[in-house]
Amino acid sequence: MSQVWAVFGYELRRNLTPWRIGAWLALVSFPVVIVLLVRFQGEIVTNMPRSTIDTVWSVLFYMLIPCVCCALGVFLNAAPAIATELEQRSWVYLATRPHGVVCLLLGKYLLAVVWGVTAAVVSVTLVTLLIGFDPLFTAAAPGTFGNDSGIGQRVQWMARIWFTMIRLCLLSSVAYGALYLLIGALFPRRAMVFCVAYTGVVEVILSLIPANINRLTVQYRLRSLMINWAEPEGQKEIRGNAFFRHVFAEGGNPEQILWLLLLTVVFLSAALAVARASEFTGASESDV
Amino acid sequence: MREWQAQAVSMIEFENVTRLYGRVMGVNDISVSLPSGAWGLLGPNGAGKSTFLNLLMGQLRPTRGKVKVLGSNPRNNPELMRRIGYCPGFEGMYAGVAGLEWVAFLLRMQGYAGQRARQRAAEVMETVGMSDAMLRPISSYSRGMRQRTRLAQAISHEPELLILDEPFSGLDPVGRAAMTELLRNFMTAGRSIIGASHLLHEIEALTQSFLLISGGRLLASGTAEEVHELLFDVPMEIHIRSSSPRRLGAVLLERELVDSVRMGRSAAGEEVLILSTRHTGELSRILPQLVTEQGVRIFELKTADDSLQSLFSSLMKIHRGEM
Repeated sequence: MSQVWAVFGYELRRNLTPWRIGAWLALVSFPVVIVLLVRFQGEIVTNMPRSTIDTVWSVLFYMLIPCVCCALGVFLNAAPAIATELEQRSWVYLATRPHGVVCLLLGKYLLAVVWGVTAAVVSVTLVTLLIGFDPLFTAAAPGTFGNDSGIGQRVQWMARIWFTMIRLCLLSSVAYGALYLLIGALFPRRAMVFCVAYTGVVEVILSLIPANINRLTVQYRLRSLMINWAEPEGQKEIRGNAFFRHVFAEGGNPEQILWLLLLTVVFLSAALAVARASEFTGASESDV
Repeated sequence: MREWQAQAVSMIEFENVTRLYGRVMGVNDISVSLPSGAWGLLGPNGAGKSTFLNLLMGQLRPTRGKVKVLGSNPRNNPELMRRIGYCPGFEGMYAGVAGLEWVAFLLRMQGYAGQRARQRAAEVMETVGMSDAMLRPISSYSRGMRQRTRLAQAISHEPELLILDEPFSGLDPVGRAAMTELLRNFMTAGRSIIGASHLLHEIEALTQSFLLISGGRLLASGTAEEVHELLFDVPMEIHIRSSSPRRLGAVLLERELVDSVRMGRSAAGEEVLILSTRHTGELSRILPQLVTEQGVRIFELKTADDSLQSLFSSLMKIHRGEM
C-alpha cells in the first residue's frame, strides 16, 4: 500500500504544474460559467413554476458536474495512465519493481479520483451558492428573500442538492476513473480516443436506450440515484412515464450504489489484469 | 552492503526459448544455463539482445520454452524484482524532476520507506558521482550524467543481479572508464552482471565471459580468448589493391595461405584481389617477405572482417551450414 501512496504523492507533485492547475481551474469554472450564462437568460427560469425550476436545476447540476466535470477530471488522469509512461519510455523502470504495475495503476487511479472529486466539490459548492441565493432564480419561489420561511426552504434545498451532488460526484469519479483506466490499459496507444468514443456511444446513447443493456452503464445507476436523492417528491411522476421507467432504475439507493461499486471493482480488476498480462517492453518497436 | 552467497541454482536458465513478434523472430530456440558472475551479451544491432534482456526481466513472455532467473520465472514475480536491478538502454527518466527525487521514488516503489528511500538515494547518487548534480532536474543532465543516474536507480536497492542494456552507449572514454570502475566495484561484493553490447571492446573491460547472439540465435558462449579464437577460426575476407593482384593471388594459393581468391574491382575500376583466409596471423607475417620476393607493390590492404558484425555473419553462415 505504501507503494501506491508513493505513486500517488509523486504523481500529485508532478501534476502541480501551471498547465495542470489551469486545467483543474477550468474544470471547476466550467459549470459555474454555464450557470452564469443561464442566469443571464433568467427570464426562462423565472417563468416556470418553482418545482419545475428546482428539477431543471437538479438535472442541469447533475449533467454539468457529476457527468461532465467529474468524468472529464478523471479522464484526463486515468485514461493516459499507461500511455504516458509508454510514450516517455519510463514504463520499464516502474514495471520492474515489486508489484510495480499494480501500484502504478492504483496510484494513478487514486490521483485521478482525487483530482476529479476535488474539482467537483469546489464546483458544486460554488454553483450551489450561486443558484441558491440568486434572487433571480428564487423569484418564482413561494418565499423570497426577506421571507424567513422562504430562506429556510431555500437553504434546505441547497443543502439537499449539495449533499446529493457531492455523493454523486464521488461515485461518478470512482466508477468513471476505473472505466477509463481499463480502456487505457486495453488501448494504451489510443486511450483518449477510445475513452471519448466509449463515453459517447455507451454512457450517453446506450444508457438511454430503454432495454436491459443500459443497466450495465454507470450513467444508468448515477441517473437513478440523482432522481432518488434530488427529486424525492417528483420521482413517482417521472417513473410513471413509459419511457423514463426504462431509463431510471427501480431499485433502492443501496442497490444502485452496490451496482456502481461492483462495476468499479470489475473495471479496476480488469484493468490490473490486462496491464499485468500485457507486454509493454518500453523499447521502441525496432528494438529487437 | 550484503554479501550474496553463491547460488546452487543457475543464475539464468533458458530452455528452448523462442520469442516471436508476430512473424518476426526475436530470439530463436535459445538454450543456455549461466552460473553467477559477469556475462557480456554480444551481438550486432537487431540481434535479439533487447528481447533476451526483456525475457530475463519478465517484461516479455517466451512464445515457446522456459526462462528462469535466480531459480524462478521472472514474469510478474515481485520477489525476484527485489533481487534484480535493470538499467535499460534508453532514456525514459522523468525529465522535469531531480535525479535524487527520481531515484528516491523508484526506491519507494521498491518498498523503502520515505526517509530511508531519500537517504539511500543520496548515498547511491554519491556512489555514481552525481552528488553535485542530484538536486538539478534530469533535463539539465549530460548524456553521461543520465547514464550514471540510470545506473544509480538500478543498483540502489542492492540487487543480486544487475542487467544492463548498452551500458556504455554514448559515453566518452572518460565516462566509459568511470562506468567500468563503478560496475567493477559493484561486482566486488559477489554480485552478478549481465551487460548487453554490440561492441566487444566495451564489454571486454567488464567481463571475460560472453554470449554471442545474432539473428535471434545464440551462436556461441565462452571466454574472451575463446571469442578471439573464433575470430581466427572464422575465414576472414581481405581486399588487396596491388600492382599485380593476379600474380599475388596465385602465389598465396600456391603457398596455401588462403582458402580462396577472386578478383573484384575497386570504386575507381582497378582490379582488387579478394581473398578469404583462416590463417591471418601467418599471412600477415609472410606477406611482406612475399611482396619483396615477387616485386609486387601493395597500395592498399583492408579487411572487410574487422567488425564484430562480420564475425556474426560468418558464425551465422556456419550455423546454417553455408561455410
